[in-house]
Amino acid sequence: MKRLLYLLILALSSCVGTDFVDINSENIELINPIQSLAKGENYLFETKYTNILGGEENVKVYWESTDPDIAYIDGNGVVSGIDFGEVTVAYTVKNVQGAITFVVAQETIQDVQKTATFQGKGKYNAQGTALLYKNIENELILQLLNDFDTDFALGTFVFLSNSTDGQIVKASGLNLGEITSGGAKSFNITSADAGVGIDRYQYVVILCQPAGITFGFGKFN
Amino acid sequence: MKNYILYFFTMSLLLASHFTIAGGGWPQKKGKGFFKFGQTAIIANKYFDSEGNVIDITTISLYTTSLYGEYGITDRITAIAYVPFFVRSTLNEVQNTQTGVILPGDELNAFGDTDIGIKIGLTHKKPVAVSASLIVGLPLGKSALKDQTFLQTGDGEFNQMVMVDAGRGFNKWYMNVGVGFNNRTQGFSDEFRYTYEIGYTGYKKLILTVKVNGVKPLNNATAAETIGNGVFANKVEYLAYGPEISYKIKNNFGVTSSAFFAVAAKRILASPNVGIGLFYTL
Repeated sequence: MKRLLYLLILALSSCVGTDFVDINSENIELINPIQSLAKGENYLFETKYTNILGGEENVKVYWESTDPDIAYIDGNGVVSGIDFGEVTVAYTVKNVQGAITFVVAQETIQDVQKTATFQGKGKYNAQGTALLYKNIENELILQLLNDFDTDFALGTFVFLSNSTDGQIVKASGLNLGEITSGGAKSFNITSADAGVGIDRYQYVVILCQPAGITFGFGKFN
Repeated sequence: MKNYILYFFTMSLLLASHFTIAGGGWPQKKGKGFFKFGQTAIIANKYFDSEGNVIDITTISLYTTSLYGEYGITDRITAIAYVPFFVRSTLNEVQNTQTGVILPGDELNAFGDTDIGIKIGLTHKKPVAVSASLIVGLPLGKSALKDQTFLQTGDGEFNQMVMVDAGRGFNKWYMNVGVGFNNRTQGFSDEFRYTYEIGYTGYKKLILTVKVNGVKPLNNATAAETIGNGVFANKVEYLAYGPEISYKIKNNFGVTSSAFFAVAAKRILASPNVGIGLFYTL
């Protein structure tokens, strides 16, 4: 009888199953974005394309300027500052497109810092500021500032992702580490994945990682 | 018919399987009893968040194997125990279908939170049977509170619930209503609980019931909200209903099956709680 009961319990208590998440990893990243381009100067944009399987591929990029009278861009990604003003350059590979907006001005300034302001998702709370920048060793760093705070559960992690959907963040985002308190903290993204550039991810996400629930997120400017 | 009613109320299980409602308005007679070996399962890839919205989550499962018993100490006093002696909680692994990358899942097997209590009959041989129950919840399971584990088999707090039930039997029907107050410790929000049940006993061996169970937190929590495995959280709220079918194989032995569905809820898994069981009566 004991054996029968034991078998019944085992039969009715399932093994750990598998959830399948269908994520298209295709992405185009501008490796060296700029804030401004000096009038009369040329600048070579570089990109990194990731295919749907998450692998890097060397493919043809199609470039387009919204106003060639301000900034002209050729087929190789070389942009020329023609006249003062604001302009957007779009870059397209297969099914993905990215764009960068910058000004033609007195000097060329590389975009080495992005900021994001946290907001809660649903009724969950997240607030404060995140900074994404390259340090003097050229490592990419995510800094959560003193004003950062969020709801917590067991297994609250900081992720970089191109989505705020908890299941997609969990399956395809870059996990930077667990947090258990608010306030200032720093994450070395280059140490986590040396191939990540400043333009790779759109969002910093606070995730209850085991269940895949997004507490909050900030979108990089 | 009274016997049918007695069996039947003792089979009530709330949506959250860690808690039982015992016996409705009818206590057991002296020396009589009801015992059940039960198995319930919740498998959920959805979750009612703190606003009541249903959101996607990684699949969490909770399987509870339990013994439930009622025994009449006197005609008016019944001892009650609910012992979930094997509780298994699992978190699915997640596979990215494009890249094939797999994030590992998790599992926890442990004893569960146990309820013991007494029911006192307040009326005797009256058309409406009224009783009061005091049930205490012993935090014997693994919990986020005590064990810092995401998957849980208990809530980690010692609670005391007072429940008043009133039931009435008719020719082939019976019904019961109950209200209760659940005092939770460790800073968890106290709860108002309510239940309604109607049953049909017109078939010789078959008993059919429909139950409605509700939990409303009083929002006096001082502890932070937790997510855990979506059942044992602070400030859980739900209104659930479901059918239960019982079949008597012999005069004192039978099988039962049930399913509970949440109409509206907060901070709990959004998936039916299904159960099967074997019962025996003294």
